[in-house]
Amino acid sequence: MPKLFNGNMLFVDLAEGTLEERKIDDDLFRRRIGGAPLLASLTPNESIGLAAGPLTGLPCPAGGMAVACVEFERKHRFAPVLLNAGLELKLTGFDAVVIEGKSESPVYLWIRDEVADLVKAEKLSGKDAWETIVGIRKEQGDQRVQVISSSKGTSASLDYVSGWDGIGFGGAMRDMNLRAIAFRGMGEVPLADHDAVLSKCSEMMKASSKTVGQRSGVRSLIRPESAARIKGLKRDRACFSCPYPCMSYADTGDATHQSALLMDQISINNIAKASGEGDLTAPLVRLHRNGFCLRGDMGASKSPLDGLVEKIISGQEGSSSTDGTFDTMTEGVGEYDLIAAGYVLGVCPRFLGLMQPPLTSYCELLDLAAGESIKRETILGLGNSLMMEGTNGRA
Amino acid sequence: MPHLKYHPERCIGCAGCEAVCNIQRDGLLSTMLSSIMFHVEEENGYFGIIIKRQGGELLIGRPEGVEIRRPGEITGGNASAKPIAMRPACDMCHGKPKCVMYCPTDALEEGD
Repeated sequence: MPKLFNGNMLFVDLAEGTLEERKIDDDLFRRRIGGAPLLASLTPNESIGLAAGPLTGLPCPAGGMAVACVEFERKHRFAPVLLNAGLELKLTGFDAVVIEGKSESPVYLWIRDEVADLVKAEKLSGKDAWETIVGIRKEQGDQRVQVISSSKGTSASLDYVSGWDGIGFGGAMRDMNLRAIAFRGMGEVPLADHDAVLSKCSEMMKASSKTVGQRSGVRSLIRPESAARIKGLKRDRACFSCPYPCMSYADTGDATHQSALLMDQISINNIAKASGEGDLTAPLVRLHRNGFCLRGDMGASKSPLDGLVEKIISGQEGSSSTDGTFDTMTEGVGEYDLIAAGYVLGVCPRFLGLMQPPLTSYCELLDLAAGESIKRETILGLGNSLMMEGTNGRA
Repeated sequence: MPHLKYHPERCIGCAGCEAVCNIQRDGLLSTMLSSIMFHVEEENGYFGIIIKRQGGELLIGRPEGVEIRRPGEITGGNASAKPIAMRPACDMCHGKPKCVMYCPTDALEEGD
């Protein structure tokens, strides 16, 4: 087993109701490194998966990302799993989770301490994505349980946050009768040279802070006319080990969920453009709780806001997903080699796309943490092959 | 005696300090032996950290401010895999604290 990994994956067959722990060959890590290329080698057709990259969970700039994958009709598509979930997934003891089949009845997958269960979820029927998270955290008795939940739409919610799943991960979960994937990381992962890793991470964080400068919050990502329509913006927040706090809490007016953490730049701009007037927070929350994000440009129809939201939820208006292999979550940031490299390593595509830190720094950190040299060209080549091949990234 | 100081108004909730502390302590990527515990309640727009200090004191860093609680003064709290009271106390890394060197917004500082 290489450093930075556990050497295990979890394979779940929902149709059979079986869960199996499998070893991942060292040779596969050498050839595929981790993250998206590793998942592309592990996921059978019509399956979904999660995987950590080698840098997932390391305290380097934006190093908190795990990768979600949907494989359908032999095509892989990948989305970033952010907040604190990347580190927590890696510390469950599984480097990857692959799920196939359809469960007869609603279930959720519960992973921790190299153990996993399928838990009956009839009691979550009719619950939206946020209510599902509340129910699972209450049942498992720990507020730090990370929950990816599905609802009516195609976009999954992670810990009450939407806007990261433009690949239909949530819709695939729903079609599999999988209400949620919940996990909590309490394990440990070896590092080759931890003193050198900490020094390098600190150096990278300080340098990245200067690049980020005063940019902060979802305001720094959305158009001024969109920002003017989110009335209750409050504190800004970053994902794990990210110096750029690109998310903001906004007042919801709801007694049980007083705040919503807004990350979904694209939906905010799209709904502001397509609707007439009014505060955007409550309509956005309604869309997100029901599993909808607005990835396609809906034009400037200036429809009444409430009516537009109800049309989207009922399927009368589009909420299309991203076209590419890699979801960048960010307007103006398309797929290119640095984004693809982030999907190999486990580094946030928004941060890479907007701040453009040097990839060589991440490669140097990888050498220190893994204890072996992995060439920059190898990382770029793997990312590019997924981006270019599109339909087949298999090892 | 030097201690860590925390400035909640500067903190962006990245929680990297929790992992840094653990790596410094036992060389492993984990959070279970960290003297710093990150706390977040997304539904309330609330995050902060708790630091276990020498002598069992806890620095509780909330958005509304910082307070020091002595052993026995704290009750309640959410369930946790390893409560802060059972974790090792901050030893300031026997010199320059790694979390201070790491923090991207200088929310953590050395102080008395």
